[in-house]
Amino acid sequence: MGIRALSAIIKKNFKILWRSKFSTIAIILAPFLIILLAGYAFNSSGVSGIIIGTHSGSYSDLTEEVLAGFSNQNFAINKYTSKEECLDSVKLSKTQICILFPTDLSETGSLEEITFYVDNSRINLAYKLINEIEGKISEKGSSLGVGLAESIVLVLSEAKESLPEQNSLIESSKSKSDEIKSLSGSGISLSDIDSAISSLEDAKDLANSSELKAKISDSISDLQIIRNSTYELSGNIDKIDSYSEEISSSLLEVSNNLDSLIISLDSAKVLDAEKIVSPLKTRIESVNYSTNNRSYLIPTILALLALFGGVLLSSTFVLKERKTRAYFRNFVTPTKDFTFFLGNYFTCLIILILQFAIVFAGLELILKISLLNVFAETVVILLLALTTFVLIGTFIGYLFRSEETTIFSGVIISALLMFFSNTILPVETISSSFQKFAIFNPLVLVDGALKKVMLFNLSYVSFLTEIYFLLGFIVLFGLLSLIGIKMTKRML
Amino acid sequence: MDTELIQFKGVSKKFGKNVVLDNIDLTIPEGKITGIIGASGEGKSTILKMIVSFYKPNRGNIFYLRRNIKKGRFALSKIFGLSVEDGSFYEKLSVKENLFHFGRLFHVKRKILRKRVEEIIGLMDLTKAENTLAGDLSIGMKKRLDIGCSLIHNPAVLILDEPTADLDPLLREQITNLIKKINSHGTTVILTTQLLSEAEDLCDRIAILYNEKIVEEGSPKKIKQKYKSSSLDDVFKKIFSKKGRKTYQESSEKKSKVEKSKKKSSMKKSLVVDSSKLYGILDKLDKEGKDGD
Repeated sequence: MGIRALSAIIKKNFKILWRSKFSTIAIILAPFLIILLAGYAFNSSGVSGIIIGTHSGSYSDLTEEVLAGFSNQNFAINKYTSKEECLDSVKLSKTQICILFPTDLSETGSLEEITFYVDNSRINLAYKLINEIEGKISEKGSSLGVGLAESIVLVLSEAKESLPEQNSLIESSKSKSDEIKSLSGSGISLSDIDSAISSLEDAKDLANSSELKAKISDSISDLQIIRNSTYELSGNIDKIDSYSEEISSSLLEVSNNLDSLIISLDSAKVLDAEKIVSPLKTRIESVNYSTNNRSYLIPTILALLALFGGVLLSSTFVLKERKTRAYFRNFVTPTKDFTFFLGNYFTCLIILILQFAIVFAGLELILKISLLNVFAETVVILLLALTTFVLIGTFIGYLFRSEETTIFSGVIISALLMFFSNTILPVETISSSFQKFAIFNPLVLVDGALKKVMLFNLSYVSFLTEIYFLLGFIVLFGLLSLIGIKMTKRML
Repeated sequence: MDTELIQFKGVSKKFGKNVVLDNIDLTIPEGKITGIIGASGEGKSTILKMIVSFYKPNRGNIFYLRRNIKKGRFALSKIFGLSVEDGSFYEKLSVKENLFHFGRLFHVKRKILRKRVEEIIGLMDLTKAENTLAGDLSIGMKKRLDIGCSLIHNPAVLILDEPTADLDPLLREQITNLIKKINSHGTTVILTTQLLSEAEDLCDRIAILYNEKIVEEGSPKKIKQKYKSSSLDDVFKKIFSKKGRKTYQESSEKKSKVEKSKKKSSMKKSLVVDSSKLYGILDKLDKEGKDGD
């Protein structure tokens, strides 16, 4: 292979690079500045500087209370006089969310909904705001619901306690009704009166004295009157009997219903108002050790630095070499094409390693983010990532002939890899047909592997798949780059 | 009798559909200066690049000391030193750094290389500029550096593509003398040129390339005798009148097609400039002929 020739190529590349001091400093220090700025900028958790736009026909005490809660969370509140104004404020980015409260929102609730309007084009922020603000309102809604539920539960408890008493009253009424019924059965019989009248009429016939007969007739007449009254009474007693029967049956039914109601009330397991309002309690916990935005961002920034650094540096390097007067002479020397390919690769890799060494030093010393516990794993992933991206850039460098096209293509390809990754939107939001390819995007693989290592301290086994795919890309783009060298030779 | 160092036997070369060389036979003797003369786009540079195996013939074979060069590209590359018209070195490296770099690429041993670099710097008269960046050198010095880079591995054959193109008469003389000096050390020199007087003065042997073929080959003296001419300019005039001179446009179109096929872009000089040189001479000759008549 010619180690001496290889070292000569690398040495030559560095000599040439060193003679463009400004470029060298820019190449080496740019990633360091990026990571430093990002590190300081995202050294926070949650969101800040949020302005909430609100509108309501009439702000009730409850609405004001909810808004005061937001103010306590350092959210600024802007009240708008119309719904349209409130919506426009979101469109014009004057506010990040618009909340429409129902007129005179009261603690007893409202049929109208509390409506949130967010700008979905800022999807990450939109979800975060909806989570935070809806959470706050739900919290308030729950506490109101608990209050309402408590009063219902209190009424139920009272009913539960008083119902057995009521039931015993019904029972006693029923027994009295039964008593009335039994009493009604012991009344005077009409046939007895009729036989008494008949006996008196017989006695009258036998009587000799007119005076006696008259008295017997008077008695018969009195008995007739009694009989008629008894007849009437008997009819009324029958009615009482029948009504008493009905009352007893109704009281039995009420008593049975009360019994089942008491059983139902007794069987009610949850009488805790809080449990009635939200029987399923939820809690969201992060699996990350840190909640600082910066910690989530560092792996992605490192992956992006590897992508842009690798692709742009190597493509520019290859093209610059192709454009030098000396390019032709390289091919008439006994040094093999593969040695030139390796020379370019190692030069770019050394520069990028230097960049990352400075970046790591900055993370450790300035931002106080230590990667020492996962250093070996991080280095392995980054070496594979840099190799992949350098080879993609090398291929681009051989593919195009003009500097402008090469840089443009390098930027476009890097941007494409970035768009179809988790950087802007999660890969899961991409349509399924594209998602099939996006999951094999080298940036997604590198970002995923770095997150596994840097955020969750996972071992090599967890990112073996990513390693295999990156090795596949290395072989593919290595071969394509070698074909590129052959192609450019034909163009000379 | 001269030793046949390089032989082209029935060699043809095409770029896409464009035939550049058609079944040519050419012999280059050892230790001499051989000039290949022809208009721009006739395939002179292609012949040189085929000798160093940069291009492979579509048909025919090229032999170096009866050994087919196709079969030993890497071994044979140490035998040849090629200098192209535009120069081939790193402008951001100094004279010395360029020589060391190419010496290493030619696998020259460390101890020998150091000595060789000193020799070349002396031979090329670049001692005062050895630490100057190549990009800051004068045109003449750049040309000498380029030739120096081609000689760093002490090749048996030095191949120069238009070594005196774009140089003023003084620089041209310097380079011509340098070539003679190099040749005097036993190095075989093959060069292309469009300057017929230079070829006549410098070359022991010339080959005239016309319409994809070698139409004449031999020493300038013999060729002049054959055409009963006093100069190569006159020989050219006769060849063109006999075989029919291609128009300037035809020549331009052909080169353009070839360049397109090679997908070559801005690195090459515009063919209009190149072709115009030789055709300028021919136009001048036409005019002189008419005046003579």
